Amino acid sequence: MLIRLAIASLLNRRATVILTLFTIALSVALLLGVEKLRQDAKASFANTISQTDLVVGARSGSIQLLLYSVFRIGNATSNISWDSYQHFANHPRVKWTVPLSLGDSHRGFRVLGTSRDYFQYYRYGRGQPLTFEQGQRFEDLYDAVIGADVARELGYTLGQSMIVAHGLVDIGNSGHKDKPFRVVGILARTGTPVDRTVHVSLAGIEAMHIDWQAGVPIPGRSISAEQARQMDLEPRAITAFMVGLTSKISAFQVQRQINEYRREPMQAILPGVALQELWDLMSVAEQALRAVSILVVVAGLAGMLSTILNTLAERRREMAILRSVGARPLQIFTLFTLEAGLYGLFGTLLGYLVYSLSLLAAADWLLESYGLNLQLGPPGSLEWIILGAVTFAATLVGMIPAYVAYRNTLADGLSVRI
Amino acid sequence: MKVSSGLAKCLITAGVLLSTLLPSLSYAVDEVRALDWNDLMPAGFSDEALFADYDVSSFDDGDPEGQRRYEEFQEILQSAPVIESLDGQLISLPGFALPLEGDYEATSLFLLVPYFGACIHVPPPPSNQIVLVRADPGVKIETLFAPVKVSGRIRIESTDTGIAHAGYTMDLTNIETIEDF
Repeated sequence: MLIRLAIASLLNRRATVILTLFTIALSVALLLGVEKLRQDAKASFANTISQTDLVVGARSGSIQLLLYSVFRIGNATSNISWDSYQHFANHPRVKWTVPLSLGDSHRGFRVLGTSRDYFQYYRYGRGQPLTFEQGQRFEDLYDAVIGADVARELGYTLGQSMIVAHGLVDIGNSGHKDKPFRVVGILARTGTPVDRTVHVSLAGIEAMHIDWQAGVPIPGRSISAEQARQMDLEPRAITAFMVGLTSKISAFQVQRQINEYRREPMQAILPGVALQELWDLMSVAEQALRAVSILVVVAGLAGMLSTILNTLAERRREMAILRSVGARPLQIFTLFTLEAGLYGLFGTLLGYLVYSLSLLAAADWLLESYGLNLQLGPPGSLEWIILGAVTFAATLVGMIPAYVAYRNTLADGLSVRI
Repeated sequence: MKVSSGLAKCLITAGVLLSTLLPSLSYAVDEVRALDWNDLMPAGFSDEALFADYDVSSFDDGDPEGQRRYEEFQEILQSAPVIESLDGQLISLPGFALPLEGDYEATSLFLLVPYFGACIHVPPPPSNQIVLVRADPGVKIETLFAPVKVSGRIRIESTDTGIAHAGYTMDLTNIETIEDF
C-alpha cells in the first residue's frame, strides 16, 4: 500500500522526478559504459592471438612489437633480414614459423604479406583456427585473401580486382597500379584485426616493389606484372615472424638466443606476457577512470538527495494529511525511503537502457576506428552488481530525508506551520 | 563403578571407531607438500657443478669462444634433469606467473618461474626451474609482479619432440597471492 502511495506521490511531481531520474540514469550509464569498455577491450585484445609461443621483430620495445605485429597499431622501426629469419626457422627447438611483412595498405585496410602457413598456424580466441567463408588461401602470385570486414565494407566478392597502395593511406599516386591483385578467398568473421586485413603472399609483396627503389617507382624502369613473375621473388627482409616451439618451457632460452643474436638486432616476446605488461601499464589509468565514474554516480545520488530535501518543506502538508488518515511516523519514514528506492530502481533501469542504446549506436564506429569489438549481451555479473549497488545506495541515501520528514511529522501534528 | 564402566565402554568404542576411521581419513585428504624451487633440482645439478668446466670470468662480452661456451651452457640448461619421484604428487610452489593462453579474466595456461624481471647478465632459469601450469577453469592473473603460491598435482611430461627432454607441468588446484614476503 505504501508503494502505491509512493508511486502516486512521485507521479504527482512528474517534472522534477524525471529530471532526477535522468541524473541518476546518465551517471549509471557512464559507469556501465566505462566498465564495459574496459572489460571488452581487454577481452578483444586477449582474443586476438592464441597458441603462438613467440613473436619476433626488429628491436624496439616489447609492447610496441606486440601492438604492430598482432594488432596492427603503430609501425615497426625496421625490418629483419631473410637470413636471420631462416636461421631461427631452422632452430632445433622451433616447430613452425610464420613470416609477416607489413607496410602496404588498400583503401584504409592494412595489407599483410605472409606465407600459406599463416592460415594453418594462426589461432585466435581459445585456439580457434581461421576458416574461409568463401574461396581458399592464395596460390598464384597475385592472389589475395581478405578479412570479413574488408569484404563487407568494400563490397568485395571473389574475383574482385584490387590495387594495393604503398604506406598506410592511399591518396592515389602511390599505388602499385600495374600489379593488381585478385581476391581468391574471404575469411569468416573472427572479431580480431584479421577481419580488417588483406593477406597476400610474400612473393606478391616483392613483386609489387620490384621496380621501386628508395621508396618511389623509377620512371622508365617499370616491370610489368607478367615480367615480375619470371624474376627472383624471394624476400630479402620481413617485418616480424610468429614462432611455435616444440616445448613451451624452452621459450625463455629461445627468446634469449634471439635477443642476443649477434648478426642482427632482434627481439622476441611471449605474447601473453607482453599483453600482461600492457595491462599493468594501463592499470593506473583504469583505476582512475573507474574512480571518476563512481564519483559521477555519487554526484547523481547527491542530486537526488538535494531534490528530495528541497521538496520536504512543501510536502509537510501532504504528510500532515497522511497523518490525519492514520499514517504513523514510521510509515512516513518508510514512504520516503521507498521513494528514494524507486528513484534508484527506475534510474538504474533507465541508465541501463541509455547505455544499451549508446552501445548499439556506437558499436560499428568503435570497430572501424579502434578495432574494438563491443558486444551487447545480457547483463553480466558486474552489471548486475552495479545496478543492485546503485539502487541500494539510493535507498540508503533516501533515509536521510526520510528521517528529517519523520522528525517533522512528530513535531507538526496536524497544524502545519509552513 | 557402574558409571565408570559405562564411561569406559564409551571410550573404548570411540577409540575403536576412530582408529578405523583415521587411516581412511588420511587417504581422503591428500596432503599438499610445500616445496621450494631447490626441491625441483636433482642433487648434483647446481651452479657449482655446471660452472666447474667453464671459467666464465675469463671471457669478454664479445669473445666468440665465450659466446660458443655460453651457447653450450644454454643447451645444458634447456635439457636440465628432473626428479622423477615428484611425478603425480600434490605440491605447492611460490613464484611468478607468466600468462600464455586465455583472456584477461581467465588464464588457462601459464609458466611459473622462480624470479621475474632478472637482469640480462644471467641466463634465464634452467628447464627444471620452470613449471608449465594448466588451469581449468582459468584463473585471473592480476599482474606480473605479484608473487603467487600455486598448488596442484605436478607431472613430468616429455614435451619435446626430437630432442629427448622432460619438463615439469602442473594441473592447478589452487592459486593465491602471497601477501607478506
